[in-house]
Amino acid sequence: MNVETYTFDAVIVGAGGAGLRAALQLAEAGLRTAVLTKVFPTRSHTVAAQGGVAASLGNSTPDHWHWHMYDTVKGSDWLGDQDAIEFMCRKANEVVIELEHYGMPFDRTDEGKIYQRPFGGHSMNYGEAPVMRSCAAADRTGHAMLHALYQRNVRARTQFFVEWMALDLIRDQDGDVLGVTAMEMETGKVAIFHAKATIFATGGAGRIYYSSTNAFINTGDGLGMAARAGIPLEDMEFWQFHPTGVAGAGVLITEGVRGEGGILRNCNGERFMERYAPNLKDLASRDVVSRAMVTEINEGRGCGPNKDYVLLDITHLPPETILKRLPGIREIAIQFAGVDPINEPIPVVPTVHYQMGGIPTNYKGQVVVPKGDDLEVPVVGFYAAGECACASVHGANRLGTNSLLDLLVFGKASGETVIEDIQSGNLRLKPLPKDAADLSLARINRLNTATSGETVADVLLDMQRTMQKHAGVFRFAHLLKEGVARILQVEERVKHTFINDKSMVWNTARIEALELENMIEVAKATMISAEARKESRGAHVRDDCPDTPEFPNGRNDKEWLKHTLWYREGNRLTYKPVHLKPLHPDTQPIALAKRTY
Amino acid sequence: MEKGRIRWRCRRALLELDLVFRPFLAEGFDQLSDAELAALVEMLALEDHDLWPMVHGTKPAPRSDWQALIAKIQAAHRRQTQELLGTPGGETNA
Ligand SMILES: Cc1cc2nc3c(=O)[nH]c(=O)nc-3n(C[C@H](O)[C@H](O)[C@H](O)COP(=O)(O)OP(=O)(O)OC[C@H]3O[C@@H](n4cnc5c(N)ncnc54)[C@H](O)[C@@H]3O)c2cc1C
Repeated sequence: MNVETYTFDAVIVGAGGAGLRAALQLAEAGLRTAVLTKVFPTRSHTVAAQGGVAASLGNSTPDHWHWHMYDTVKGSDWLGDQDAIEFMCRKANEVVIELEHYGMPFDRTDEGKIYQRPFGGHSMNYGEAPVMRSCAAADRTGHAMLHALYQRNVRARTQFFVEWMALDLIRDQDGDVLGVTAMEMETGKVAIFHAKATIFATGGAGRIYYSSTNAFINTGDGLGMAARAGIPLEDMEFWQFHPTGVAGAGVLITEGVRGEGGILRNCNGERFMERYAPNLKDLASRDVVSRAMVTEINEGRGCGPNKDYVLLDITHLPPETILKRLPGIREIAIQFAGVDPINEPIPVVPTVHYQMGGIPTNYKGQVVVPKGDDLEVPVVGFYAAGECACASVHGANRLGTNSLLDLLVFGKASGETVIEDIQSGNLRLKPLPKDAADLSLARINRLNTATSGETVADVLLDMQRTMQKHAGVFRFAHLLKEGVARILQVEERVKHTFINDKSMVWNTARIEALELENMIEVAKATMISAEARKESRGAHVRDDCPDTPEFPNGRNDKEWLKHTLWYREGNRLTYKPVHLKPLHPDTQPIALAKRTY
Repeated sequence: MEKGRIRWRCRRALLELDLVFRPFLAEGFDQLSDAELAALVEMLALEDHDLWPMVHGTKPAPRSDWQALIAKIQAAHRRQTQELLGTPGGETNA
């Protein structure tokens, strides 16, 4: 089959915050830059972010980048790489002010500076008191960020390929990355995007779980493509759960509801958080609340016909307070739980929210893999940024508002590195291998010719249920072990999915089948990495690794202070050390300690 | 415009909208008239933060053809929610 080839200096897959920031850097430097995206750029999931973006501007309270670094390392449960974290925290002010210059409508103080709000986990003077570090644009921070970046890209003549789905990474015999194959949804045609540099900014894969706060678009395509091309995935066992997603739907109910006095109750009506966190009760940190909820459910005190959720109760609050302070939450409860929270409590469950792991990169945005004795060798021509990448700044647990910052800092850094690599002559347009599009064409051909098999929806649901049950917020050795076997069975079924619609044009069934092939890679990586990590750390909490004097919080630094790398081939796991040294020799490292708040 | 393209454009940035559109795509979408499809295409061009309050009913949709579409979308979602929760009623404000 004859496959059309487009040639660019750089091709970026993804037009969320990370992709747009990277594209801008390249296009403004005069490089021919293509951005591929499954949906219109401002329909990327970054739009959902409301809380804000972290930067130690110190506009509302005193602040320092090293305090931010401390909070981030501690939040990561010391699994974050301190060089990358230092880089991010030092760069924060610059990228946020740049965004202001691009026209981002940040909230303002009376003196006209960017107004900053407090946010969980961010502190002043190494944990002393809450700090105001989050910069927001009302409750539309992500939306405003994408608009500002998109407009700027249009001006810089970035070339957008909207409603194109990247299918596979192209590597040559040397392992260098030469671009991607992609499918134009409108025609079903497959083309090659041939480039000196390829940047992945495809976002997270939260849809691998049954209960997720993520929109349907978050199918982890970048991770699937990388895994199929032999690139390992890093630290995939670490997923952040938000305690209060609406049961069955996943839609997020913000912490603000408990801040206003909302109480979590079990089937006996008991305020169970009093037993788990006598002081902070319902306002304890996300992971503590999530695990308490799961314990209640597992011990038979869940609510509803299947006893599989708990209740978030605000019926004791005056209706005026609910209408005035929590109108959005009332709408969500009415729409998705069928209850008006003025009269009835809201069914909630811990819900997957953010993927800490991803494609391994260094702080420059280069994708790095082990080669011989060197565990971090850049893959020539390949870069990644944003939620699909693992720099690793979030380690075992991300702090709120640090993700939008990650998009800006590492989006920009990956762009800058590409420019350097092109200017220094390290990157050139290498000839395409003859079989560049074969894998993608074979995948599509299988779907086009299969005459029977299972529906994508059925297999997807089983994958999501398996992930939820076996690699949930609280993990059990026997469930993880069984989960590995189950997810490998699901993988076999993914190979035999069947779609009725064989048309070329706008075939959404085919798109969903191809997305499932990406999601299963992420699911396997998660389950297998989680089963293997025999400690509790950050968001990965095992029942068989409890808090003991020898292993505070169940964390075992002697054996497990290391990053996981999962390879698709043979489901092989290897490990690499955490960077405990900051970037600059005179920066004080954040010494290992127990994570307590 | 092709139905597949419109179907794909119901993929949104906010989970709230994805969830509300899903039952509608399964049961009401295929019966829409050409005029309704044209109205839907224009409605889908809105930003998610403007579309969600309209779909949810907190902000009235400025066009009567959008209001009629939203009523269908909400009816499909209401039926699905009732099936899932197994309870009759369940207040909504479509
Ligand atoms: C409800 C919610 C609230 C949040 N609030 C905050 C917050 O307040 N602060 C914060 O810091 N973080 C927040 N987060 C996290 C943060 O929003 C995300 O981590 C971040 O937006 C991810 O951005 P991204 O650029 O990596 O990817 P995305 O914005 O998800 O963009 C991915 C892009 O890749 C494209 N793409 C994917 N696959 C393909 C393919 N195969 N071919 C072509 N294109 C493809 C998509 O079309 C899209 O353009 C929140 C997350 C959620 C779910």
